[in-house]
Amino acid sequence: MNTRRTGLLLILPALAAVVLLFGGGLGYGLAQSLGLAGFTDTGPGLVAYRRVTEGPAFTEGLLLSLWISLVSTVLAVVIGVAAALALRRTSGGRRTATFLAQLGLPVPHLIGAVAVGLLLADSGLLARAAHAAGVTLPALVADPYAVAVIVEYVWKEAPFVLIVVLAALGGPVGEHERVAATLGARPRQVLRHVTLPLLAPSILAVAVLIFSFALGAYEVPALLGRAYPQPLPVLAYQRFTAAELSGRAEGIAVALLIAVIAVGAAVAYTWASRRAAGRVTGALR
Amino acid sequence: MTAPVPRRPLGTVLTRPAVVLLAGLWVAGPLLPLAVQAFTDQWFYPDLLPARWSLSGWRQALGPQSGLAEAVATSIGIGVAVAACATVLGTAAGRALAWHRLPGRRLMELVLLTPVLVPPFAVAMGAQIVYLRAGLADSVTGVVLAQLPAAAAYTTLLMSGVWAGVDPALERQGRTLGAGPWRAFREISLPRLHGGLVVAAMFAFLVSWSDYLMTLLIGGGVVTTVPLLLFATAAGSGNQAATAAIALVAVVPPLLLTALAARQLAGGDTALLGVGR
Repeated sequence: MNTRRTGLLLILPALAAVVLLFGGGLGYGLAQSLGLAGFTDTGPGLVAYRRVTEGPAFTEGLLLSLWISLVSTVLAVVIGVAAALALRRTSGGRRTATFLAQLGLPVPHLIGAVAVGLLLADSGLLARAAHAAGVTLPALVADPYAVAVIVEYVWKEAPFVLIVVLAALGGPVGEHERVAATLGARPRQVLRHVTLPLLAPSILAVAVLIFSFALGAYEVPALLGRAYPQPLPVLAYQRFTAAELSGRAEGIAVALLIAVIAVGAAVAYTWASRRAAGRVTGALR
Repeated sequence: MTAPVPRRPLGTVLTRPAVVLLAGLWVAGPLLPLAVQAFTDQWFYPDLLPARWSLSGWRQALGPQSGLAEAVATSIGIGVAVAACATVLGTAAGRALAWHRLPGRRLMELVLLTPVLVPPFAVAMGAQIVYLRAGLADSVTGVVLAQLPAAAAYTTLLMSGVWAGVDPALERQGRTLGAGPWRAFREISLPRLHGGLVVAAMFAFLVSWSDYLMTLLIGGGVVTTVPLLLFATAAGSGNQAATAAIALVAVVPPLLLTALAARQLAGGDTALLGVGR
């Protein structure tokens, strides 16, 4: 039995599905954004990119997108890691808490957005409670800081971080911590020099996943965000479906720029995780 | 100074009820108001409680005009088709990744991961014309094909881990005893994959169940799934009770499937559920 050929035969259908259905769309989209295919009114070149990036709508959208993604990622990671570390120190209830966190993971972001919208809107539950307490809240939905959007992402992704970190803590981390403690390290030193460096690869990996997801997600800012400035995915969709023909190429151009940033983050992660791994093994040797 | 023994002082920070309550509040916090909102009518600001409880939101959400029943049927149909295809693709590819020596393995893994990393709508926008020309736009088949790569990426990732836990020697023994490759797979490995297959199919179904933008772009608004209906009602109707009712209907399958599969789910696997929705 030729094991290599069997392996290729087995992996080929999945590869073909991704390359044809995903890569094909990506490539054809690139061609359209460069004016090489599809419905265009311009010659080949970077016209669509130039048109869509000039002017404040793109710059402000990019900044807003980066703001939403960065803040959501940082908050979700901090809350998730803290919860995981706290959960390890509790006397009980870890299984129930993990189960509850798992339960929230598959809830679609769109439902989360609807729920957060009803909760934080100007006439939402929180505003009613604040009014009863005599406090006036600033606008939280469709506000300049995209609070509702960030709240939705953090609500969904912090349990995700929690579960990944809990899984990572199940490994040899505990042993290393005990060794450090036996050698006289204080709890804070153990956390800083042993626990967190050992968790760094998993934390970085989830951070990248959350960041690129938040950067490219459409539903949540479309539902909870402002009409202007729009984060890049909303801008891309709005250009793509605009009445004029050139909008299609411009929308795809924005979508591809988002993809470039997302993939860039993943590449940076691979680089950083290698460095982090080196640092940990170096520290433990 | 003596080293603190981590176990005791670590054991008493939070008590069991506090932990469960906090986790429950976090997860249910935004979802419970949905359940309240769905049964209200005339809930004017700033009343803390609605002036009237009613089923009118449900009546509208489930009524013939809303199309929720059709949307649920469409979503389930697409989800089952995506889950079936993606699980088969992922099982085959996972076996190859776990058991076989592959030329260019790293590149293959990277290619299989792209649908997780690249925002899918970047692809959907480019692919729309192709689907239009192939006559697949605005059709259920087109939507299934569009959702398949992302779902297959997840199932492959998951199944390669499951296959790695199955001993290849067992199938070899079966082959030595005269079983064909198909029979050796079916009778020896397949029973061992069972739990993983359930989780993979579930993930693929959920990837499909929550998809909004791909379905909108490729389905052209003709293929109305539950997320499309929910978005349209939330953004366009202003009817909060009906919106909440549809959201509640949409949230049932994910919660139910996860709860049912909880026993099959190891910690690391579930993490995948958090990505890409």
